[in-house]
Amino acid sequence: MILKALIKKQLREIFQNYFYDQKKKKTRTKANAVALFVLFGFLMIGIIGGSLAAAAVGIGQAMIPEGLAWMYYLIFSGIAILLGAFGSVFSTYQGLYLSKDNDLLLSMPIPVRVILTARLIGVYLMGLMYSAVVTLPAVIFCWVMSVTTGVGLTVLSVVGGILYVAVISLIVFILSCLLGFVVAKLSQKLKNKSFAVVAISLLCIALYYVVYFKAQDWIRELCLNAVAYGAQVAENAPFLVFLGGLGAGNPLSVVAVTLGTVALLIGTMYLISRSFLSIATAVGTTAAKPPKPAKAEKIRTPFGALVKKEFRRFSSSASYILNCSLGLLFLPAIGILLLVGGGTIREVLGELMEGLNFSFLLPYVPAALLLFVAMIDIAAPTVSLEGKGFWQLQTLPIDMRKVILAKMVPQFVLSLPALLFVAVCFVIALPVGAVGTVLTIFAAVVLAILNTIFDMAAGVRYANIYWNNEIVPIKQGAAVSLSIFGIWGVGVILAGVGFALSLFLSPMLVFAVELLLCLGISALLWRGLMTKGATKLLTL
Amino acid sequence: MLTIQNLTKKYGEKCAVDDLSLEIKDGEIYGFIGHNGAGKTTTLRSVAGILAFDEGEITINGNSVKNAPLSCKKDTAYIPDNPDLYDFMSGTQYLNFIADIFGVGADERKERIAKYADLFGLTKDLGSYISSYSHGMKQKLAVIAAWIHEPKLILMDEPFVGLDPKAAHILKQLMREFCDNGGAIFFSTHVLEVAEKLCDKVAIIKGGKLIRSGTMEEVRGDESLEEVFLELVEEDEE
Repeated sequence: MILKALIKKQLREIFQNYFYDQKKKKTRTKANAVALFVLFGFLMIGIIGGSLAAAAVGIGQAMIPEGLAWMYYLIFSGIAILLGAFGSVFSTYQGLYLSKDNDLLLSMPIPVRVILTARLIGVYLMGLMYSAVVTLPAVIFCWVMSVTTGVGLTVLSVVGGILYVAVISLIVFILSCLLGFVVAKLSQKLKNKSFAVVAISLLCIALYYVVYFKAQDWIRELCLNAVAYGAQVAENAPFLVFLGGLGAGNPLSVVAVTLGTVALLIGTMYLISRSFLSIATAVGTTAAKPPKPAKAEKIRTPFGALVKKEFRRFSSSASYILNCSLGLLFLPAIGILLLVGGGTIREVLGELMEGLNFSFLLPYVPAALLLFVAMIDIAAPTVSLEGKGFWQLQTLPIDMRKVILAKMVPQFVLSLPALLFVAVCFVIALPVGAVGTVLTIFAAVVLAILNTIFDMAAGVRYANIYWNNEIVPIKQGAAVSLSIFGIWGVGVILAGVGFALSLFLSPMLVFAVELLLCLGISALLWRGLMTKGATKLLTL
Repeated sequence: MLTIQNLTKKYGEKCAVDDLSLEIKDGEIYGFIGHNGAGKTTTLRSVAGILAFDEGEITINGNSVKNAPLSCKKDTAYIPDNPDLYDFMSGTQYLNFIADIFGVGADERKERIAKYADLFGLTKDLGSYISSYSHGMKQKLAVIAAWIHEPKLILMDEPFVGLDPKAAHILKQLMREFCDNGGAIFFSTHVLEVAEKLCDKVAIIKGGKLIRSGTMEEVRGDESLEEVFLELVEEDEE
């Protein structure tokens, strides 16, 4: 009964925005909630699941008729584990150990194992959501192809397929728990927790992306020479054949892999349950460390103090840094790629057109930059992150417009150099003439402004100061979703406008028009922030 | 110092504060008592400028909370019932943040931080992050932050909750000293003994309506404040 209540609470927390309209402060209608769930389902199943289903058809056609179903399942196991476990290391750490209701729940007559079980079920369900998007289409298409290609569908392969979905979800769960545990332990021991956690998580994310990008080449190569690789693996690593045999319905694999996973699960649960209380209660205690001597503080202007506060807030939270500033890594990486691969790009494009002026690309520069800069959304959750402490800003003699401005500074200051770097790399790699160079550099400034103001506007519009775990405003809030998808949307529109106008105007002029359009959108949003936005924050 | 005229605040259909009027003069400690949900916090939050109200007028030092909120806030300090302070700052960083916002000079802030932190026994913890503070320590820090910029009016919502007896005693002394120097304090409390000993004036609120106010003598007569409070609340229920 208690467990059910806790799980319900947890799910309600995750899907709070689907049931409750924060803006109108009232429960959504059933139709409204259903519509939001349908949209979510479309994004998860329609887009991610759809693309994976397409991959399943391609891989399946190359492998299943050749009797290499085990290899097919092995590939999808890797994708599911990568998507489910490594991409959400930090969420697991946050969800398991850092909830703000730790004290409340522990003070109630609820056995710790029940609290832990509820949290673990939350972690499992999130992992299942991601792994099932991969494994379900994989199993269904394998079954369909087994029938259509004449390989045949046996009872064992059906049982194997069903167990495969369950076992992979458990492996994702086990890995998530273990990685969350490692991050928690390391963050306890290290001095600068936020940055240490960020470094660890970035390593996992880097691994994730390296494998993700490489995987496409590997899979293509595997599909082309499936039989040869299958024979090599069977000879050199029969263990992998055995693992993949689970989905294919190999009786021995089904039994052994399932039992092995259950044994691993028991071991992991033992480890997590033994350490849960000590880790969860270690957050915020004073006993472990003696108080630090107070350092002298620099005197600042009121606005300077607000800006410093925002930088402190940003650097204090690993989840904030990780989730809202990934673009700060991507942009320089894109710049370096442009420099390194500039020669090849010039060669390819040079074949298509005469001369070495690439200004025909300019109308698409804003869209390309927005694609990556959208992943810098530091300003989007900043109002929501004030949480229940928002009274402090409301009672201080500070104009709310200054508060909004201060909240935008970190994002602008951090994103501008990254954008300028890419812009400079672009004009070095693909010369666009003097005017084009100046416009490209100017575009970096304009897009930094647009992205920052857009994110801030989303943050104010969908401000939600009522949360128990900061991951809610940082990762699951409507503001951050709008800030990312909205900027992508603007990018798509600009690309469309650029393409259409390029039919009539010179690329340079089209580029200038697009930048003016960006400045226009920024000005409109800025006006809204300085009027309605500031008023809203006063009585939020 | 503070004038509240015909204040009305509704949450949907429910009237949280109904046509409330009172005046607090310089040098007065004004207690605000009432049962849970009577409208004390709503009134205090309206005065602090956090909550927009539907009708009436609130002025602090002659400035309207509605029309000149920043001028009002410059003269005011607010301590809520549950001080959710910036967890990501240390005590020192927080106090300096407040001092920066209010433009407190380097020497004054240093002197005041040292004085009040010492008074509340918080000096050695100022370097630690607020996330590691107990409720009482946060409350002490909120009190120091309120005093650091020498406001003219201090609003406090249940200020003694979470404070140890020594800290509560110090706070009472500070409140008296502050008002003796010309400041004014408007605070809510459930501890009637404290209100009786500390307040110059007191207001009793029930269901959003002010049911009695005045000097301590006027309100309680020959009885204790507790007896009067209970009588008034029961009388009103009948």
